[in-house]
Amino acid sequence: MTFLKKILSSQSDAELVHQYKTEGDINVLGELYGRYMELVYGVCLKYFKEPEEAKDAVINIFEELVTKLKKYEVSNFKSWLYQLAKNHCLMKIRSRKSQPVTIDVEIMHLGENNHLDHIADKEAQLNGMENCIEQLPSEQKQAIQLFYLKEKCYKEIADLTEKDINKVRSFIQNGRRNLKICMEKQALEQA
Amino acid sequence: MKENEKKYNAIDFARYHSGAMPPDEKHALEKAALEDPFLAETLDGYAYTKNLEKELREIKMRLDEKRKQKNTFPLFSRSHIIWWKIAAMLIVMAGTGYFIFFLNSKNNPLAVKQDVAKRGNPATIFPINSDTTASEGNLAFEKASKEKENNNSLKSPATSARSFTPSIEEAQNKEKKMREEENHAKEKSRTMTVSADKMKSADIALNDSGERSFLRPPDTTALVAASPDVYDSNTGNTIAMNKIKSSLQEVAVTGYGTKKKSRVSRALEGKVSGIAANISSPYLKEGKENFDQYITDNTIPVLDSSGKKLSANILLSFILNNKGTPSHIKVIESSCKPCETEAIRLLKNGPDWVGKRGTSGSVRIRF
Repeated sequence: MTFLKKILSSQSDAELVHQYKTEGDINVLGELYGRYMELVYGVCLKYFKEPEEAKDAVINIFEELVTKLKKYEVSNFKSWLYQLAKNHCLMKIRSRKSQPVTIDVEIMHLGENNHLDHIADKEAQLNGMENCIEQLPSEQKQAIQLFYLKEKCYKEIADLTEKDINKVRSFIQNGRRNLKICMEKQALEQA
Repeated sequence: MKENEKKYNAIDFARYHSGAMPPDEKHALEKAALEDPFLAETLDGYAYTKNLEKELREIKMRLDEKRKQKNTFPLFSRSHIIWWKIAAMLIVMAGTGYFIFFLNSKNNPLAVKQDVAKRGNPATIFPINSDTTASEGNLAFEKASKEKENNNSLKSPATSARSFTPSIEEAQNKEKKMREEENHAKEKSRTMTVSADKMKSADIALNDSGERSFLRPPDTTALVAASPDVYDSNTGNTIAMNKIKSSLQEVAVTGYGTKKKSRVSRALEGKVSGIAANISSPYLKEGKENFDQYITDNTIPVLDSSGKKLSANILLSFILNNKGTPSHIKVIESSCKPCETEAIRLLKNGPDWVGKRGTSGSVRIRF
């Protein structure tokens, strides 16, 4: 069993997904899910804000995974699992009709963040974006500079700027979005 | 897999929220979270943990249980329920088939249960009624070996309403010979073994010329066995089966003595000489009153040692010969032993009888 675990742990996500699809071995899925179980628990905690509910959700997502992974073509297991976990939590919250859904500000920030995924790939080009940074509002510019150029964490930036940590995060996320727009403009002008 | 996805785990997230994580690590984590929404949401979520270690341990334990459950053969899962249905259907079909077979075999009136007959205990025999050819007092039965039983059988369906009297006699019209046969039969300790299963009521009577054996077989199968050393084809052995109840319709007598089964079966159809079958008893041509008058007129008184006249009440059985006179006369009941010879004489020389050759009858003589 230990030997089998070693073999499984050495395999990539894509290999394990393929193996599970062909063999249907629950141990293979267990190994795969185990790699991201803590992340899934974190997501569930974020939505339910309650460990007991989050724990149940982690188990339910695993059961959902047993059948759904066989049905769907999955190229990136981690991204797919994230969407599955998120949808599960949202569906669960929606099913509580008596309980109004409260969306945290942080979630909203992260929602914006989702749309900026592809920008992350271009982060290396930030050095060449100095012009765009200069065009940002002062608070966003300060937060972006402290975060990316000075490599300060949210807490440090909050302390330095004497702003709330959530506001700091918001400045950074909004600054990223504005940078994206600026860069797209520049690209169009260059073209 | 990207580098940062491998790096961070629950402990890192806990350290981040507890403030135990250094700022540079924090920055790296935050940076990674900005690039990865999954990580970002996870990082936010871990702010709500109460006892992280315990919570994670519990989740792992529950996941292991789930894995074990999924690994075991789920007998009642949806995918296996079809097999359960098929198995249940087969069981029901087998049960129904057996039930139908059982009913058919039980209700078939013509079924011959030879195996039952072979197993049946022989010599469970009841005396016949007065309209037959014997009485209880004359009955003597003997158990025979199973081999003998198996060689001879009597079959009668439940709804039978006829009786047959097969006999093997070539010269029934010769009284002398018949008398010799009677004496010969009496001298020998003849035995006839009758085996029957489930004897219920008086349906068929079976007797030999030596007044030995009588049978009321069951409504299904009876087995008759006779010792070959006693019964042979040279003597006038007779098995008489008299109707007791009108419910009888058909009786099959097979194999006794040295006769082949086919011969006996054909005899039931009247095709073999010496064996005859009829369905009616003989009756007096000139009536019973005339017969009684004949007895009164022709009786030679029988006296005892003191010279006193003896009275008799004797029941005789006989078989009608070709000439319409009784032969094979036997005493069924007698109140006076010395008077039996006179009674037989009177019957033999008495008025003619009407009936089919080979049929058996009985008459009571009083003087």
